Amino acid sequence: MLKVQIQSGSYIPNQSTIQHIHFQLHPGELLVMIGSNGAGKSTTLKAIMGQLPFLEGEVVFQKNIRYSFIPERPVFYDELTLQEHLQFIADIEELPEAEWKPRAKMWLEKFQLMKVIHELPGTFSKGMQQKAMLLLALLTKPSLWIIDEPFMGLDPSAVKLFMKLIEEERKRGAGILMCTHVLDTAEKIGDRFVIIAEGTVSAHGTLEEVLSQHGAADLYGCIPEAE
Amino acid sequence: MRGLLLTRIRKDYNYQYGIIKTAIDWTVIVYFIIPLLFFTGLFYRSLWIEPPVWFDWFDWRLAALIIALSVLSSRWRTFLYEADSVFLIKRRDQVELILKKSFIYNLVFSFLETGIIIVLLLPFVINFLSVSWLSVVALWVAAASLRVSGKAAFYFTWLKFKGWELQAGVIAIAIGLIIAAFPVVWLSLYVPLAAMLPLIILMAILPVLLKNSLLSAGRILDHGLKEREYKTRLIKKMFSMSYEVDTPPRAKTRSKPWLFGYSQKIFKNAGPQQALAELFIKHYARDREFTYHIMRFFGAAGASGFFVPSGWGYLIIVSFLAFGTVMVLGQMWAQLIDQHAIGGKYKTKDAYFKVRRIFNVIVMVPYLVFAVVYFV
Repeated sequence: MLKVQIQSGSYIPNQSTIQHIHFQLHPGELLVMIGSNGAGKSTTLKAIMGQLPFLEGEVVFQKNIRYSFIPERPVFYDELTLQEHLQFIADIEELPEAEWKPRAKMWLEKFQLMKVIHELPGTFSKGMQQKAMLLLALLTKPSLWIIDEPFMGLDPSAVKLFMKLIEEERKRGAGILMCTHVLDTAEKIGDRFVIIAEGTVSAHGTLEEVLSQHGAADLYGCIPEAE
Repeated sequence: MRGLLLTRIRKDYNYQYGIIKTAIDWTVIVYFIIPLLFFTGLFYRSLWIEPPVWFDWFDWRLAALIIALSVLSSRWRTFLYEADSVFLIKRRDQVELILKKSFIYNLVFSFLETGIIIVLLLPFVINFLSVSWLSVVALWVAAASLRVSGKAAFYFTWLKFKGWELQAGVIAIAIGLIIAAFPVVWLSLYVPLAAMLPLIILMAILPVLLKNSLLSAGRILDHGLKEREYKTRLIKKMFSMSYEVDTPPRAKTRSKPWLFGYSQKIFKNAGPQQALAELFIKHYARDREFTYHIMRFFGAAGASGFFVPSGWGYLIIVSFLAFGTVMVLGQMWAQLIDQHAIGGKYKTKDAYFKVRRIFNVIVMVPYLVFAVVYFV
């Protein structure tokens, strides 16, 4: 459902930030991209989303696929309430009202966002914003999830809820590409791993394959101790 | 602490200069700025040598209107930072000192700004209205007083009110300024000495009037937020014009929108086109920065109908403004769709192109109306 073949990509011409990044994502698979700060994970996601100004290579999505992107820093329309965000996504995706409204209500209650539905998400706390982003993504029932640092700002119960949700989505057949620093969680839920270091793929495969190729030190070495 | 304000003013100017430098390279200077200055200079010289026919259509009221309108885009500066609310919280005396000094800055800067406006108006005032140089000085004092008072009033309203009260306050002050400008300008032109005295007294007592509001350290954070908004206005404009840069999120001081507060829908029918139109209308009805630009284009088209005597000239100006409006509209859409993390994936949708076309047609209507009225 997603094929990434990036030769090089950058924010400034001729100064490549990422290079030689190749991987594929299949339905029902959770691919975890791991790397230390500044390794190039978020830049890779930006390249996939077509937001990197200079890109050599190609990113191929399965035809007519419905995907959702959850950036590291939640982004909303400054002047739209949460309800209006939901309405916008539902209308533009042409979702039947009978389908999206109950789903939205259920997730609003689960995430405890019902009381702020008529407020501007830009004023929410970090965790609430992250939940609202998830909610917007959930609304469309995407076949492909692209998630950047999903655990940042979430409280433990929300992390638990999120993990459950990811599992359900995977069972439903959705492909998930996730960037994270939280290695122990990633280890538990990931099917395959892409280790990014210095802007390129340093290891790729299942956990066993990555460990056998590069050893545990290499896998853990890409994550700073403090994290 | 002593030279803190001066250091901040210098830093601010360097910051703005740095932003401008990133947008203006030598090609812009050679192909745009130098020709613009040259032709503007020639035009200004021609106003001195031979007053144009269209001067006949106006009297002193033109000067009053220009001066009043110029106040609307001016801003009060405090040069306080958000961080001051943390680091200077126990040094209220220093904060108040900065605020007092910034009052002087606002006063001096207003005199300089209005000085430029007066110089531009000189051919009209001297050649056409035939007033004395004393009247010109009085006009300068009057314009600067209006400017400082207007800036202070707008800033006070922002500090004091929120939501619809703020909107109503801003509109009331704008109307008040335009109305006040006429007697003030008339008096300064025709009874200069009598006009100058109360204005100078007003300037002298203004710090006392503002002591508990604009010059109070009680709202350091609000001062800092407003100052940041002003300081970053240029960079925000550049962000909004740059397609490859993410739009930075904006700090909000309110949690609910002031229009459609309960997320009421505008269009009854649901669909991609309605969703995009609703997004655009609601977003720019609530955040009117771009809307003001478009209103200025419309205003310029309307006003130039009075100034431009030639039909062809008017058509060229209106076409240019219409083109500018479509460009601004393009930026507005880009901010919501092309550059946005949520909207980005809809940038190739047919509905998006259709709605853009519809909006482009809608903004052409006022220009058509102006053109028809002009020729009729």
